[in-house]
Amino acid sequence: MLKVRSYGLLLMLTVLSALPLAAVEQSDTIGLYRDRTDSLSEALTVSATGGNFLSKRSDLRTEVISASGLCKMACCNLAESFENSASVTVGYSDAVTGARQIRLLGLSGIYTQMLDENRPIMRGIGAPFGLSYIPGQWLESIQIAKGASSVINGLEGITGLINMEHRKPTDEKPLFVNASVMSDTKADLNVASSLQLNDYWSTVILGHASGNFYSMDHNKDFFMDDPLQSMFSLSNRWLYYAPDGMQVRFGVKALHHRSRGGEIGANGQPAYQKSAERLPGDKWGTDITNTYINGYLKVGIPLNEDNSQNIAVVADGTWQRMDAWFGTNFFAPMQSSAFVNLLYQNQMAEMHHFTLGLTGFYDGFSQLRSATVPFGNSRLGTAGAFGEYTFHFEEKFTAIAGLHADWYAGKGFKLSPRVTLKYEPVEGLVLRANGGRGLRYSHPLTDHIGVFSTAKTLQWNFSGHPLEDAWTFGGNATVHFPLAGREASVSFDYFRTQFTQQVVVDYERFANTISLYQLRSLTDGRSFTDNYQLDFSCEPVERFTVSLTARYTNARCTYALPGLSGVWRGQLREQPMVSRTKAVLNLQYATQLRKWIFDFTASLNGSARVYDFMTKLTDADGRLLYPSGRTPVYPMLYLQVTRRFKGCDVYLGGENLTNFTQKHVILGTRRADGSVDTSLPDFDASCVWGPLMGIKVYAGVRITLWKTN
Amino acid sequence: MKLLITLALLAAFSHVTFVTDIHCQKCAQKIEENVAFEKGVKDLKVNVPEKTVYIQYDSTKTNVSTLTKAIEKLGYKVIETK
Repeated sequence: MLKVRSYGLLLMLTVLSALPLAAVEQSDTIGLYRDRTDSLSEALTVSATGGNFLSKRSDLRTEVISASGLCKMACCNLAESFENSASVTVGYSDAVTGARQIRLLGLSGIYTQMLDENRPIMRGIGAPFGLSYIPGQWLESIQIAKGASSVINGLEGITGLINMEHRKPTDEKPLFVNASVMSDTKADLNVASSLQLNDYWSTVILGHASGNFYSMDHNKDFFMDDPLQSMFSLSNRWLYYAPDGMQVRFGVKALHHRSRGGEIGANGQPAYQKSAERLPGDKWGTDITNTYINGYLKVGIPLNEDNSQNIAVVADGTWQRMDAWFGTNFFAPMQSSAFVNLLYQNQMAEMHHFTLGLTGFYDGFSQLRSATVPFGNSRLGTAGAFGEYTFHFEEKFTAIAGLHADWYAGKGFKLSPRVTLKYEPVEGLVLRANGGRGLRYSHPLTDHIGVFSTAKTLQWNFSGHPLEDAWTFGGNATVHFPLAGREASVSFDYFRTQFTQQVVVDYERFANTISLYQLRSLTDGRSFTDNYQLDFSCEPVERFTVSLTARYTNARCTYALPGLSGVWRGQLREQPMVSRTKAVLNLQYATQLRKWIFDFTASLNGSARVYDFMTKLTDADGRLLYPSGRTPVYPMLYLQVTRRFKGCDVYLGGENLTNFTQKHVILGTRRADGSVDTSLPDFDASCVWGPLMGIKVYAGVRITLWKTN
Repeated sequence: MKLLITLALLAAFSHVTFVTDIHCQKCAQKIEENVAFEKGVKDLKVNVPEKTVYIQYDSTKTNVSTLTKAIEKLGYKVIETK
């Protein structure tokens, strides 16, 4: 009976708290289950503390970045938290705004579903800057799951899921303070306070303030190396755990962010002034303000004494607004979103359980009348039902079959199946396979915010928000084995994503024009990525961990032939600006009692095909910048030393220690003084493939006050 | 000579294993991040499934009673001392 009850609690936590099973290792049980007979302790495992690791228990291939992993580097925000992961590649949308983007399985992060403890976030206009809006020090862990995941989370995750676990109300840390400063004048302050008010109520307050107050122009291109920024965010999360097992979680979050970039003026300040008219001599730049408010409620109710049946409700509402100036273009969209998930879960027996649910999304978009960029008002919505059946055979075999049936406003009815298999034929060997369909409304402008950092003409041959449709299949084999008396692992995975319908952004079809068009696999051509990855991790000496990862990506798409319009004719080509290979080496050594921790990360980033028009670019001496038509291979090095005291960590680190940066990142016709004439249609600051900043040094402190008797 | 000094120091170290009521990785983290910095503690290992805390310590600087109090101060019960 106890086992069934514990499993019922796990099912409910799965919905209310985190990603399936991966999060069980992270579940917030402290305080909740102390001195209770229904403790989850039997289900908890001792997870690695060295940083990133592959979850053994997860049904999907899941990489976990632990709290320790989030302290390996500066990790000021979510985007930077992926710097030491080969699964996720982090880059910039452009060289001006500071907007970060990620790639998973070789595809843009817009195809990865971002979840905040199982609530979809960073959708629509929240996507371009969202990765910078989650402070790394607010997080307890991040789980990166590749492939088609559970239908419970919806269908927007085409390449996978990234789920964030925030610091919990039940954490026994009444006060946590983190302050850090970087050599580029960026400063961060994070505060967290988890309070247990009584046996039932607990809350956590999370605060963040950061800024970049001064910018430089190291590469002498007359543009600021990084934008001036200021950001404030505040979040308050509550948990109520009733004696009968009911759980209620709710919270709010508010954020304000301003970023100013572009041509540099005096004293490291922007030269740009917001204006819809451009006079001779006016400078080009960006001035972007984002405001975001979110509230959510989750309720889980056991329906019987052993909790083998329960219902759960997840509701989420977000309002966000962007006021963005890009030169003379004013883009000012607003988005109101709502998400509801109702679930019924039944643990019929040890081997069988199922979940049934109803779900709905609503996204309303509008724009300020004073805006100059055509955007239009639109309302997107989905409503559907889903079911998922799970079969467990002891610890050896798991099969999950899910089906999502949805009505998409303006697009009709869609049926989406997903399947996951996990098999452990012998102890230490885990085989996984999964596949299924993913669907999402495209947001042509905000999905590709970099297109605003150009003077090129933007053209598209569709209206509204086309539905993007893709299938992802893949598998993973992981072997865990003893090495030098400790556990080591080798893992290989392969995933393929094949689009049946996609919005393609094409910089090459016409000169000085960015074309957006729909690609349908049945009539127009193909778009797919094949992704191979090999991971190895071991601990050859106590407290010395080594992890090595290598990835190969083959991303191809049928692009409309250059210069041709009208009748669709295309050519299958390698997708531009997507690096084929990447290797990452992580080393960590900790002294006895982990009083000193040394972290070293090295990555080797492979080449990517550049846009055709970039193959003709030359440097000041007339030499071709990309003679092979590809970007150079470049290394990145990171180093951090942490000294730990009781309740206080002090750290000092360096990023991009090889000082490699992408040269000639601002493209266009150059004036006599070497600056780019931003008034001409060939101006383009969005062709970014490498690091924009050279060596950066940072220092920080983390202070933790623990709850005591 | 250095090796001899190290061996002599190791010989002076004592160790103790506490059986506690810890039940999750966060309990382990709390103990590791606090007890590790108690005076005289030289090594510490927390085993969640077995609910044990192993401590190697310098008996000239601390003792079992002090270490027990350090664990109890964090809110955990010491059920048995081995």
